[in-house]
Amino acid sequence: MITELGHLALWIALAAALVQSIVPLWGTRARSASAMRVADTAAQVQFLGAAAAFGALTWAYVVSDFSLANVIMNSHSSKPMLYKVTGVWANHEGSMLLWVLMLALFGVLISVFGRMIPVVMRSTVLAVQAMIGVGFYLFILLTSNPFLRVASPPLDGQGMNPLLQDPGVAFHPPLLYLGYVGFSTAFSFAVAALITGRVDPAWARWMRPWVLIAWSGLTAGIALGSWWSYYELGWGGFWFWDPVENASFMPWLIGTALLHSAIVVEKRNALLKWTILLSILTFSLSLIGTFLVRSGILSSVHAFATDPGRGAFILALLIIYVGGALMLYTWRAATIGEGGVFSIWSRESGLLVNNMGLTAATGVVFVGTLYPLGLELFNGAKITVGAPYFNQAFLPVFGFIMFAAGIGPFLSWKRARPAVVLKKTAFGLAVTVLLTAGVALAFGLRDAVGLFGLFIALWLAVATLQDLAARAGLPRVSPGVALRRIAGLPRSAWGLYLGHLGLAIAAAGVVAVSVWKEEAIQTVAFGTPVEVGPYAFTLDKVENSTGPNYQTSIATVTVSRGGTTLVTLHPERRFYPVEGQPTTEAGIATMWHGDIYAVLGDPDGRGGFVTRYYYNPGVPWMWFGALMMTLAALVSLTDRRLRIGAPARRLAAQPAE
Amino acid sequence: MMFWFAAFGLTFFGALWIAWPFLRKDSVEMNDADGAISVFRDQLDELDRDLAAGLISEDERDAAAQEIERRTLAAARRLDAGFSLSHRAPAAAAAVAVLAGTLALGGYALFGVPGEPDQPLAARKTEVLERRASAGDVNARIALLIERTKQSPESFEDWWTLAVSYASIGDDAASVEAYRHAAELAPDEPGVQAAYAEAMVLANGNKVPTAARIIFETVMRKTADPRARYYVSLAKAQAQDFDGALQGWVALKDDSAPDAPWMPLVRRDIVNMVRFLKYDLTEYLPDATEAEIAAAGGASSAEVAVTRIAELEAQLSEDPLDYVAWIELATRLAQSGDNEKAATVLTQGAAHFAGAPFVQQKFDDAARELGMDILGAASDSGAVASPSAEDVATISALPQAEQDDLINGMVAGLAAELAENPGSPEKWIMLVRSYANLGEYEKATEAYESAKAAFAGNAEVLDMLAAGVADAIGE
Repeated sequence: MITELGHLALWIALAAALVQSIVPLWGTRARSASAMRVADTAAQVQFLGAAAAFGALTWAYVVSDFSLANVIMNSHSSKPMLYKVTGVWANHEGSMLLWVLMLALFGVLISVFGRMIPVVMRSTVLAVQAMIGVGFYLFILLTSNPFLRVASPPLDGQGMNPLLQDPGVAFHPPLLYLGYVGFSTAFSFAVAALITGRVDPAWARWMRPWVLIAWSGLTAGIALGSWWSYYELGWGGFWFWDPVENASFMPWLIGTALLHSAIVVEKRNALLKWTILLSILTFSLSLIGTFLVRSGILSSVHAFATDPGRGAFILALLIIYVGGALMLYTWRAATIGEGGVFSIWSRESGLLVNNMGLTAATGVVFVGTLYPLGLELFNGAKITVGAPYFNQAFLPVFGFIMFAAGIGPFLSWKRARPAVVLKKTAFGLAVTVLLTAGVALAFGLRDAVGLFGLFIALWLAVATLQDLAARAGLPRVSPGVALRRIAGLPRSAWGLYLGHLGLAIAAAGVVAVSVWKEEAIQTVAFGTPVEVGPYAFTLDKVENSTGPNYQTSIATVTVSRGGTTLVTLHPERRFYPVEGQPTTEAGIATMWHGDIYAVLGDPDGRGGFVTRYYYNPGVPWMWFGALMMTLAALVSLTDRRLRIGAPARRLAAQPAE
Repeated sequence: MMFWFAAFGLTFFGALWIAWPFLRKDSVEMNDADGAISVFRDQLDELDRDLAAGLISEDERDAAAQEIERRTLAAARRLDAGFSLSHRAPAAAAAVAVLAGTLALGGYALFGVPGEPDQPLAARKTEVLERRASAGDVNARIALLIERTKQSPESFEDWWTLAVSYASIGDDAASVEAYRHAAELAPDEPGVQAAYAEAMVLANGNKVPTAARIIFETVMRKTADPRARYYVSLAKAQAQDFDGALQGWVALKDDSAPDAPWMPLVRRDIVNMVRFLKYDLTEYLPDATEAEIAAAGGASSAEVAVTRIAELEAQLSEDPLDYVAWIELATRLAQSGDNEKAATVLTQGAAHFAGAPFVQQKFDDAARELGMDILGAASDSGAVASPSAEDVATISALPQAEQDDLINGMVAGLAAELAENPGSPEKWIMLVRSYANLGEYEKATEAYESAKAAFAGNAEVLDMLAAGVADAIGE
């Protein structure tokens, strides 16, 4: 009964979304506040419906109800409980249900926390949000229904891809969807602005928290996915320019642009049309990402839906939403004024340069991802665009963006003094050159490309710290005053510093591991040490054991440096009998400067084993940098400005100001 | 019914909640709440803070403030322009609610399976067990039967099948318990009663307990059940009434078809009784085979047996670790009529192999074959001593010589077992290591060679063997 009520709840969510997409818009025309407020209650019912459906499906997974086709295909009674739960979204139907659940969650959050947003704007935003929902509810219920029952349930299910039975990837989709779907709020705000004709700094402020949440989730989701491929796929790689990775990277890049352009709207009431266009493009790229992954048009580990009917459905949704929004834009954009003016030397221009750079970078990734697809459609040729293209085309653009990101904060709003900016830049550059040279000499680094990359990363860090010092009043004021000033900086400023520093640290890590990685692949006998960079890896033994639903060979690898034993690693080779698939679990030891990484391969039949040993410098920096960026957005989210708005709260807060 | 009640309830409340704004009392609402204006006010405050912090100059502040004030005015103008009315509109509420409710219920009714119950795996236990049982899994069948007997404890069929299933996996104690239930449900079925009593005997190590004997005798009074007749005789034999037992078994043999399944057992026991009583077998078994006559101690070549007994005794005093020789000696002694000594020899032989269960089993089988277990029922000394856990635990308390004996016995037993079943690499490793420990390196190497021969071509096991014995024989 729980399952069937869950199915019904999904239909209730669809009905609520349908009401939510029609009645409030009619209300704004008819000036009926009641009709507009239906947006709030419908959003709440929609969320409860989606949540109940998701809960019912989860329940079916937890108790292994094999009367659901979806559970049969993706679960097994011997699977550990954690993966029974995460198995809910590790498949097409369940992940689409998670998608709409996230969408409904953002809707209900807007209805609850968006009280300061005027009812006309809020109800329009929620109506647009619901229009997206209606399409996806129909998609799920008509083509990808997870609640389909089978007449004679089998004794057990078919299990779940063992690669996905891992804590890292278990929480990767929810975070990624938080990002993808979160950008739907930006889209809804943009479309609502076009419908109501209202774009101003207040609008930007209302939209900003949702963009921050989405961006933070997407950053964490991408990092988590990358981390998973780093330790689970067993090649020491963390980013493969796989189309599915690109599908999440494009919304991130253009979402980053949106995050910055919205600041200009809020501060200076400028770049209005551009910001609206970016909002539409960001969610469009999220939808394209969903289309690419869900349609099965790409063949990669992620593309588990291969039903062309579904692909056509999503393509239709994509055309309706993106095409509709862009048509509305061309029709209504003329009614939106241009807003504030600014000179070439200004923070606004700096952010515009950031936007152009990020848009160009998105374009590079977009072409590299979709070109093979277009070519295949055009003449049937199957090609892959791999790392060389992206490294040559994307990295220079992104390096330029990072360089500009260092200068940006030196610029003041509206009209900056070029002399001041140039002086600060020159100072920062001098420090960076010295630091780069110092690092090169200290560690004996010679690779020109690597050193250039390091220079860029160092520059961003130096310039960011330089700006922080300037805001603290250094060197004019005493350290005590400077500290007090730093503590008193608004949280949004902390968002800037944490975010830019995080990017610098992550970039340094990427450069280090890409250029200075050491690796060795060989067949070894027990007890024979293998030199990898300064480290000696020795395979001591391999023991067989069993896990909850797999058999495993666990190796003991001792790593020493200069004769001193540093650490013992335990890489594993697992075999999942239900799914008939092996997986590797790398043995990793993390140090401040890098990872020691060992992978156990097949036995060679004469007592030896194939092993892969790596020293990956900088890898922990990547994860740390990504974590800083994720937190930067959350810190910025707590800025008091984003809590301003509700009249009553404003009055209450007055004495404290 | 229950399902539709819940479904309608859920849909009704959902629809009502959606339509709720139409049911609230009339009110006027500003279209543009002054949220926008408070945003601008906050921006002005921020300018002052930046100025105070020295981040912007006075001029910059004034310019920015002017800009923000312009925006504030624009927002205020919009504020004047619009407000919306909120009316109580039950008709609209009903329309919205009915629309939403119909869509939800209608869509679900089209695509769902209303009322279909959940089928969590735990609730499908019976089904799961049935499928496994039908695939030949005895344990699944037993689990299923236990479930059934819990649900219907009055079902004779289920108890009976359960008892048979337990017996088939050798769980005699559980089997007795199940037979007892079956027997209670069928008090007038001699076959069932006899089966119950037989299970008691099997669970009691083939000794007939008094309770079983009473049941068998009751059954015998009612019918000529061969099982009851056999066990009543066995009980007599175990009570040292060999004549009574012999009569019973002979009568049973006479009444049975020559190819009845119990005949080999009955003939064996007749032979043993005749031997104990030193009778002439042909009187009781006119169709006795050569082997049976020999086993009954009636061998024509008695002197050959005497020579062989001397030979075996000599051999065993040299090397007491040859269980086959011990058993042959006991058999020969019994056949020559010296049942007492045969029993003693079995006990002595078994004592050398205290730590080797495989060999102990062989001695037990031999004792049963010779009827020694029957003798043992009367005189404790005659039974084959099978070493208990305590015996093994007291090894360390034994004098050195006895300890060595015990260990030697264990090793010999292991070697004997592997000669018969060479399939366990772990036991081979144990054997090689044991020889090495005893200092018998030649035997260790020999055993290792045999092990390698047994697993030739199986690289994985060979690796395992090599790793297992590496430090023992220095390979």
